Formats: sequence, structure tokens, C-alpha cells
Amino acid sequence: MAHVRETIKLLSKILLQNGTIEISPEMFRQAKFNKKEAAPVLWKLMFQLVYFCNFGIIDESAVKAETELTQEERCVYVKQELQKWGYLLPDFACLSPDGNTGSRELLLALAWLICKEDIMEKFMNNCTSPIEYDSDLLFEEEMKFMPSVKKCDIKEPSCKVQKLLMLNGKLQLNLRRLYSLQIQDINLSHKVHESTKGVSMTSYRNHLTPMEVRLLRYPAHLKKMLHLLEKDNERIQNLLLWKDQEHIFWHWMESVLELKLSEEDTSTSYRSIPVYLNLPSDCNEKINSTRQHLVETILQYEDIIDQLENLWTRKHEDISEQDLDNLLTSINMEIALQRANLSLSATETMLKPPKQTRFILQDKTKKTAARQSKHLAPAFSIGQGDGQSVDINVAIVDIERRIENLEHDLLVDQGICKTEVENLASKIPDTICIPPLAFKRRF
Amino acid sequence: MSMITVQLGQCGNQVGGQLFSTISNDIDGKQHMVSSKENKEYGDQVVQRFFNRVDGRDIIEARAVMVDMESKVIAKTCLEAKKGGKWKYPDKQQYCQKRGSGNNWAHGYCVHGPNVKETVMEMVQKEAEKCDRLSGFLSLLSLAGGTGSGVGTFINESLRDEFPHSFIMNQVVWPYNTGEVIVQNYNAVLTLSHLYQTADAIVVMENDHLHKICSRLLDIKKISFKDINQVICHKLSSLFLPASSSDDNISQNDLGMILHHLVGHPEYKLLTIRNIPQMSDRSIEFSSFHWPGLLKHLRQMLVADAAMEEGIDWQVNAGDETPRGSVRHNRSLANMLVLRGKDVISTDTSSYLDPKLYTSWTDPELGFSKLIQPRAFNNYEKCAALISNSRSPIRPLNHIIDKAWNMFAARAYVHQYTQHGLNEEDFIDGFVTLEQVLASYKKL
Repeated sequence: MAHVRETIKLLSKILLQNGTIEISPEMFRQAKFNKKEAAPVLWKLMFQLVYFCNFGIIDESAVKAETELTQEERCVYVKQELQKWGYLLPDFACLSPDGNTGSRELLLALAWLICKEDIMEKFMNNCTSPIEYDSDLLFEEEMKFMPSVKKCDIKEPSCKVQKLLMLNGKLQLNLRRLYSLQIQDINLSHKVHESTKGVSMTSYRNHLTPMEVRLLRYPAHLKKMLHLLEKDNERIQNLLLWKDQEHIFWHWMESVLELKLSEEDTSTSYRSIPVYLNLPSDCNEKINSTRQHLVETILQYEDIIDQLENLWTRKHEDISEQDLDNLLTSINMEIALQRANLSLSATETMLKPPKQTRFILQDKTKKTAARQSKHLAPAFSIGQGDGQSVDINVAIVDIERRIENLEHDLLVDQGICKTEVENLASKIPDTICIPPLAFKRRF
Repeated sequence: MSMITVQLGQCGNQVGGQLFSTISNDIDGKQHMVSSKENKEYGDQVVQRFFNRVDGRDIIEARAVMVDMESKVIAKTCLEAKKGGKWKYPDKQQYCQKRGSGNNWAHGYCVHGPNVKETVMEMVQKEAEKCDRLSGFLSLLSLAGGTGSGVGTFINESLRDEFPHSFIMNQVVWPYNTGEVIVQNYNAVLTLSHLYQTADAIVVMENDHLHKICSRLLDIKKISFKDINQVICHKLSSLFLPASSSDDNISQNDLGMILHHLVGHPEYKLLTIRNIPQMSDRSIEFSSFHWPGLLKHLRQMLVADAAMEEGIDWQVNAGDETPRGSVRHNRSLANMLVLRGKDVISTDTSSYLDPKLYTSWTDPELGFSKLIQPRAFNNYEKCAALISNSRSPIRPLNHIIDKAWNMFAARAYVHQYTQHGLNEEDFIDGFVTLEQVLASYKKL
């Protein structure tokens, strides 16, 4: 039993370290026995974890959302998301939205969420060595200034449009500024890489990163960095420990489930199970009509099938083994081809985690790596152990393709807008529509 | 961050040469009002912005590309720069031909433009590659002539194509009302209407105003183009020399920041620069400056739409209306105040936050920004420049459109343009575009 307590303590520590609220092991125990006290805390935790699963981080906006939403809204949100992911247990869906009961159901749902959504893996992915990427923490001083947002109090619609146009223009200009800054960043990083060629701290590059150079220049920052590393280390240690001990937790969860099953009142029947998914209102009718349609179709084709069967028996007597084999191979080939096509399109996923990618220019003619410092151990050679490097040429081709698609979409949209504007203009008497010069050139 | 100057045509090249001289002279200015360390940092910043340090050589090279159809002016400008000994133009970044455009916009735009495009763009690309961070382009041209306006417009369009995400600011010299070139208004209409599509902002410098400043404030008897160019460069440098936002002290006045603040709205791109004080070197010695006085004058210059501090109409007040309800004073979309010199941090600029100065659909916090630089400029102990996106361009724009339209109605000189491939519809498009600009500004 002591082990269980330790393991649960570890779990709550991991959760806390990754930004959720603090939850004591005692709460877990109380939840097992369906005590009221544990429910509010568990609702909060569930909300945060669901938020984490959706957005990959528990940040200020999560806290803001939590405080701004009512208890009921939060409950509905959690239930809806869980149903979406496939947790369709009626007991959970029926929990009262005031957030004071059903702590055991919540505990089960929590365990399900942790298991199903691989939350521990996600936590682990979030632990990256801060030295790898430029950390904001070292630039705190520069980032103090944050402009405040003021609400617009203009009433007249035409003024509002003008103001929105202006804000939009400003946004676009700012995007272009960001773009130029990004280019500068790349230029300067490249300079750092060039001038530190041969010195490296990792096995897969042979130069220092700008961050490392900055740390070398301002050794005081090393302390901060060390602190960050230690924190990260601790988190990873805890996660590793969890990997070792998680079976204890799952055993304990089994006992929770058993307790639930033994206590369950078999006589309860659910008159109506609340559904939180966004189902269309005419869903039932649709299913029924589709079913009807299916039945009709089957009946309709039954005769044909009979005929075909007859035909087949007759043909079967004619056909040779050789012909059959040939037919089979060709069908198999077609299936393989279709399957390959399907898997190709499925790999194109837009929802990749926002990790920084390192682009490299692969020199195909040169096989040996660039000159390295003789003071480095042989293990410190480039091109090893690093899964994130992408050949820049491949990336460029990919981006160019996307640009082409976007440009095509833009042209189509512009055409639609143009006809729409012309239609509108034709409705206003005594006006002609003269498109701007820039627009004219495009068409 | 660095800015590339594209000097187009006779006027553009002369102004450009003068601009670099003004800047490099200012770096060496003795009355800088800051510690020598700060002065050096400032100097380095300026050099990085406008010049390129060539390894192993003392002399700095201007980040500039020069284009003209005649070689005379470019040769002279390069020579003058070299003679000064402080800076020079980069080698082989000049493009010139033997024959000019004869004050014909169409000749420049339709004939010379496509011919020179490739070479000039290569030069620009070469210059851009020298910058760690290209903050944008400043292109200098006049509206009246043929090369600056015609070829210049074409080059600007090519720049936009080649560098779609870069910032492009144009400085245009507005011809005298009683101009020297008969077709100047045609050229101006065609140039402005095209630039409005490609440039992010257009800084307007009116020759008439500049002339008045030379004669009344600088006390020059026989005014030459050089004097006028000096005034232009004074205005431009007071905007572009390093300064930082008074809000956070970090944001620098790179081109992007200036444009973000002043020309957020895509329909309003015309900027005017007013600055104070402006006086001859002799008078500086006998003058003393106070921030409240300078800022009060500058504000009234804005309100009364005056180009200089002398002879401002003090009767006009912000919020004044004519009996028919239209606005009497000059209303703005955005203003940017650049203060340089002593005590800049403590100056009170709250009078510029008056909502009456701005159009109804913006608020002063959005419309006004202040940049400061403790390092003095041009030996003035204190000086201020106000860059505004306001109703000021209405009058000169109206004038140009009217005159050009009157000529066009009689189809005067149009054949000179059509023979180079321009058609009447292009003229009409130009007029429509500018009428739209005018209408927008009138609504401010």
C-alpha cells in the first residue's frame, strides 16, 4: 500500500511540474471511495489536462479560460472533449454539472485520459534541453515591454471599417517586419556557425549555436541556464521513475474499477444519456432513412446477384486455372497500388508538433565532413543522432509547391471577389467599377 | 539594419549625394551633446544603416544604387563624394546611358525602364546581399522629369516584384507650381498613381515650400538646387538617423517601424515632414532653444498646415470648423515626432495627444508616437521633426490633377506619350487613382 501512495505522489508531482494544479495523494484515495471533497479538484485537473491535450501547453490562457468559464461550462467542455475522443461511458456523461459529485467517475476518466492520450509522453516531449534552443528566459529584460490592448469604442460602422482596415494594414506591415527580422536572425546565426566551425558541444554538429556563444560571452547567464537544466533534469527523472512504477498505479486503478463494479446498483437504468458531441439534429432521421435506403438497394440487387451467381457457375466450368491465376495477380496489384496511394496521402499531416527544425544543405559531391578540430573526441562528428535535420532543398521544393497552391487559391478567390464586386456595382445606379491598377495587372 | 538608397534621375542622384554628405558630416559633428562613447556608438549605428564598411579600407561606401539616363550628373555626384574623402559610392553600382528621356514619362517608363531593369536589379541585389538585415529601400526621384519619374516608377515596380516583402519608401520632389517643364503635371500624375500601387509610403517635398525655407529661414539670396537639396536632406536625415521609441527605448526607427506607425491604412500613403529649427549656421550661434517653444511652434505648423515656423497662421485652432461644418485645420491620421538633442527624455509632448488633431476613427494613442535621440543633430542643441500623414497633400495634389486634367481634356501633348506605347486609358487610370486618393484624404 505504501508503494501505491508513493506512486500517486509521484504522479501528482509530475502533473504539478507540468503546469497543472496541485493535487494531493489523499484526494486520489478519497476519489476511490467516491467522496465529495475530491470532486472539485479533479474537475479542475481534468479541465487542465483536456486543455493540455488540445493545445499542448497549460499557459496563461488556460488559467484565464478557467477563471472566466463557469463550473457548468467547464464540465460540459470536459465531457464533450472526452466523448469526442471516445470515452462514451454513460456514468461519466451523467455526472451533475455542479462539479461536486462523482469523484470516482472522474478518477476513472482521468486515468483513461492519461492512458489514451499518452499524456506522459507528451510531457516528456515538452522537456527539451533549454540549451538547444534560444530560451526566452535569458532575454527577460528585453521582453518586459508588452503593449496593452485597448478596446475600440467607435460606434459608426464606416469608421469601424476604416479602423479595421488600418489595423489590418498595421498587422501586415508587422508581419513583414517579422520576416525581415527572421532573415536577419538566419544571417547572423549563419555567421556564428561559420566562425565557430570545428568547435561543438553535441555530436551532430560541428559548430556552436548562437545560444552557446551567448553563454560563453556572458557567463552569468550560465547560472540561469544551469538552473533551467536542473529543473528539466528533475522533470525527466520523475518521468523516468513513473515509467518504472506506473504498473502500481494501474493496479490500483483496477481496484478502483472493481470497487465501482461491486458497488454498482444494477437496477439503475439510463433513461437518457446526455450527448455532448455536436451531432446534427436530424441525425436519427438520417440514420433511419439511410437504413431504409440500404434495405431497398439490397432487395433491388438481390435478383441481379442471383443472376450473376448463375452466370458464375456456368462460366466457372469454362475457365481454366491459368486464367484465374492471372486475374488474381492483376487484382492484387491494383489493391497494392490503391493502398500505396492511400498511405501516401495520409502521411501529409499538418498537425506536426511545433518543434524547431534544423535545415542543412547536403553537399552531394563532398563525402567527407568539414574540417574538425583535432581536440575533439572522435564521437563528435556531424550527421549523427539527430533526427530533426532536413535537407534544405527538399524543404524548398515542398514550400514552393505549397506557395503554388496558395497562389492558385488566391487567384480563384480574387476572381470570385471581382465578379461579386462587379455584381454589386451594377446594382448601384450611376456608378462604374474601376478596379485599382495593381489589381488590373494581375488579370 | 540597413537601408538601400536608390537614386533615380538627375534630381534623385543630386539629393542622394547630398543626403550621404549630410549624414557623414553629422557623424563628425562636434556639438553632439553626449559622451564620446555614446557618440561613437551612434556613429557606428549610422554607418551600419547607410554605409557599408569595406574590409581593410578606411573609407566607407554608401549603400546606394544610382540610375540615370545621362552620365553627367552621376559622374559629378560620384566625384564630389570622392573629393570629400569621407565616403564614396560603391564601384560599378551606377547605371547610365547616353541619351535621356526628354522629360517624357512614357519614354522613361515604356522604353528605358524595361531595357535597364535587369542590370539595375542585379545591382540592387548585390547591394542587398551586403546587408545583414535589409530594412528596406529609400528611392529618391522627382515627379516632373522623364527619367526620375518614368524610369523611377518602373524601377520601383521591379523592386516590388523582386523584394515583395521589403519596405519601400519613396521621396518625391514636387515640381514648382509655375514649373519649368510644360508636361510636369502629366508626369506627376502618372508617377504618383503608379507609385501609390507599389510603394509603402511617399514622402512629399514641395519645391515651392523648400524654396521659401531657403529664402526666409536660411537667408540665402541666390537659391540653387544644391540649397534646396540641402533642406530636403535635412528633413530626411532627421527622420532616418537613429532614434528610439520613447515607450520602451528599444524599438529603433527602422523603416518598418516608421511605416507601421504612419501608413497603416492602405489608402493613406502620403507623408510630409516638418522640422524646427531651421536656420543658417551664422544664426545658430546667437540662438537658444527651449522645448516648449519649439514644440508649440511645430504643433501650430501642423494645425495650420504651414511648411515653416515663420508666418504661421496662429488663428487656426485644432477643432475649428467652417460655417458649413467642414474642418478648417489640418487633421491627421498619424504623426511621429522625432526629438533630438538635450533633455529629450523629459520633454512634455502631451499637446500632440489632443484627439482634435486626429481623424475621428483613430485615437491619439494609436496615431501619435514619439522617438527620441539624446545625440544632437546638425549642431542644433535641440531640434524636432514631425512626420505626418495628414490632409496637407490635398492642396498640391488637387493643383496637379486640375492642371493635368485641363491639358488632357484638350489632349495636349498626349501624342508624345502615345508614341511610346502609353494609351489614353492609362492616363484615365492615373487620374482615377489620384482622384480616389484625394477623396480619401478629404475625408480625413
